[in-house]
Amino acid sequence: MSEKVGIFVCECGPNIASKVDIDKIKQNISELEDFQDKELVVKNHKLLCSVEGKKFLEKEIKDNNITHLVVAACSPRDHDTTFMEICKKTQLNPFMYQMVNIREQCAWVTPDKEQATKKAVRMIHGGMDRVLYQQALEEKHLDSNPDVLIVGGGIAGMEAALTLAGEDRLVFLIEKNEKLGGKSARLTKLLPRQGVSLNVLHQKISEIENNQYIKVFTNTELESAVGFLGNFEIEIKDVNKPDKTTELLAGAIVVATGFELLDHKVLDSYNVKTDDEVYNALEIEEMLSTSGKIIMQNGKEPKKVALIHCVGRPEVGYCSKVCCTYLLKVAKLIKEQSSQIEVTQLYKHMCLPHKQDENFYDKVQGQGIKFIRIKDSIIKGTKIDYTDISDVKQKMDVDMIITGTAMIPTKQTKQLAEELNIELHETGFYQEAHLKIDPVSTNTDGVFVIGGAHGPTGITETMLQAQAASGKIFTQLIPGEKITPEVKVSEILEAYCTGCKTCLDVCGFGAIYFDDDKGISIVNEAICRGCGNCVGSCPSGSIVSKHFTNPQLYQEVKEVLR
Amino acid sequence: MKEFRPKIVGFLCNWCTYAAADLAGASKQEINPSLNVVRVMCSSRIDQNLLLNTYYNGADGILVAG
Repeated sequence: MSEKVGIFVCECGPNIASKVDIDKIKQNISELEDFQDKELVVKNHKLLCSVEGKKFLEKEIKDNNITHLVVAACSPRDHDTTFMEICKKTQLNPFMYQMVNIREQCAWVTPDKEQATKKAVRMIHGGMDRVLYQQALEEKHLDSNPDVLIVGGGIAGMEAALTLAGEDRLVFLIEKNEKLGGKSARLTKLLPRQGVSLNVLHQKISEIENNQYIKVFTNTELESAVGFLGNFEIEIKDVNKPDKTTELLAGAIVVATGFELLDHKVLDSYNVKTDDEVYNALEIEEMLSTSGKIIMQNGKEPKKVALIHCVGRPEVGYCSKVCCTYLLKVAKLIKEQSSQIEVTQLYKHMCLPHKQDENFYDKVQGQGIKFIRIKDSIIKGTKIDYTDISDVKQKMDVDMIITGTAMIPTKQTKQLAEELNIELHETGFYQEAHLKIDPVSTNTDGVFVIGGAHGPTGITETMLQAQAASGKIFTQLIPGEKITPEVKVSEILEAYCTGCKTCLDVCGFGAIYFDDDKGISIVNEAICRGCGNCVGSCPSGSIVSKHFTNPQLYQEVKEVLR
Repeated sequence: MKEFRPKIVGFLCNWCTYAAADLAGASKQEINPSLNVVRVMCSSRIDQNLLLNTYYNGADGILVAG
């Protein structure tokens, strides 16, 4: 079949047409010397992405038997897929088409019409030369498993499990402890209405236990996970019998492994022994939920209690978001127990991020609780030396200290991150794919992070994240539907690979594995995203970036430089 | 003497700098037509072969942004 190159210039209404000379572009393109032996079809259209424009393009491709297509229009970020879809409706492979962005990258940024026209010609010429070197690529369709593995049976994992099972998804919920519930099971009352936490939690746990779609594995940890979105092969192990493993198959993995509280005893400013009356807020919560009140080890009620905020915050380098309101709640509970107890809050900043917090703060202030703003504090037993905001050193002696310590990543975070190939943030928590626009996804497709594992989060935010991850899974893994992995991936040429393993280190997606028998690296095309990092780093030049090959880029570069 | 118009090739990452260049376009910011943008899927794709080839083809400067 002889080459027949179709070049379609979109006017984008007046957007392109008023900034460049469309006729001149068409004329210049048709007269290109190195295309004299090729058959060209050069046409323009008012708006190629319109219904009528798309019909026009489809008909032109069919009628002219176009073998190579160039569309000069807007950004490929806007309409690349639109035109690829049109190719699919014709005989043309969608990878035998190239889009040239003469709107954002030319017409809109070049006020001089003559210059803009020249630049558009260069760019289109680049696309024309590039498309001649392009190769037809075929999409692959893989079966996908809609089942989900959830790691962590705290409130985050439980909510995700219930949401997913609500749509009949099979969920494997693994929890390393012997019971479901996580940290939330240790809380007494929940803000703002102080509903009893355990009631809410027990209701969820019994819903899970009675749900036929949720399979719970307690005393269980993740041993290994291999695969990609839609196809993960998972091994889980019994914590008490590590050689007892079970194999599972799932399409997505939700990491809901929670957080830990920083131990204030590790801080330089805390000279505290185990038997001192110094507790973190979670220990107080447990005291409240088991005995119903706050008592010292000698069984007596404390007369003076100090609650210290931001413990460990300078050391970890971030605010844990929930501790201020949390300590306000504890102070209120102590006052409700006995108004005789003198309660003081020593705080650096008062972080009240939610809409109901300010109101709660006002209520607590009205209960005879003392608030002292401090710069620093040193703790010896239950004696506090602090610097107030006027830089005056002060002393305070109390019967009990309650610390609002920082939330920190769990000890297993790093190991699990390596197993699942997900990145860690500098704070040690898991890194989201994008803080603002993709906050529960990770750099590995099909792996999601929710709750305290994600960073300091309150229960409200944890619920949102659990529901968000479930929504993502509902849309990405539809039962019975196949998944189409990226086609523009890297390919390692067996004959050239020297087995140096450089590519294994640079791949950010864990998409390359080493074949020990052959002594070469191999790309798992289902995981590869086609960034080309391995291509740039391969010393032997044995990796090809499909659709972004060296010859293709050389051609484009050569023409845009004319 | 003829005015010197440098030829510059900008290799821009599809996900960040190319998107930023699109935004500059949508905001109608003026960009010197000397800059010729080549879209890549990641700036890490650019290796010495591509840089040398670009100079060989007459580029006065190369911008790799990502």
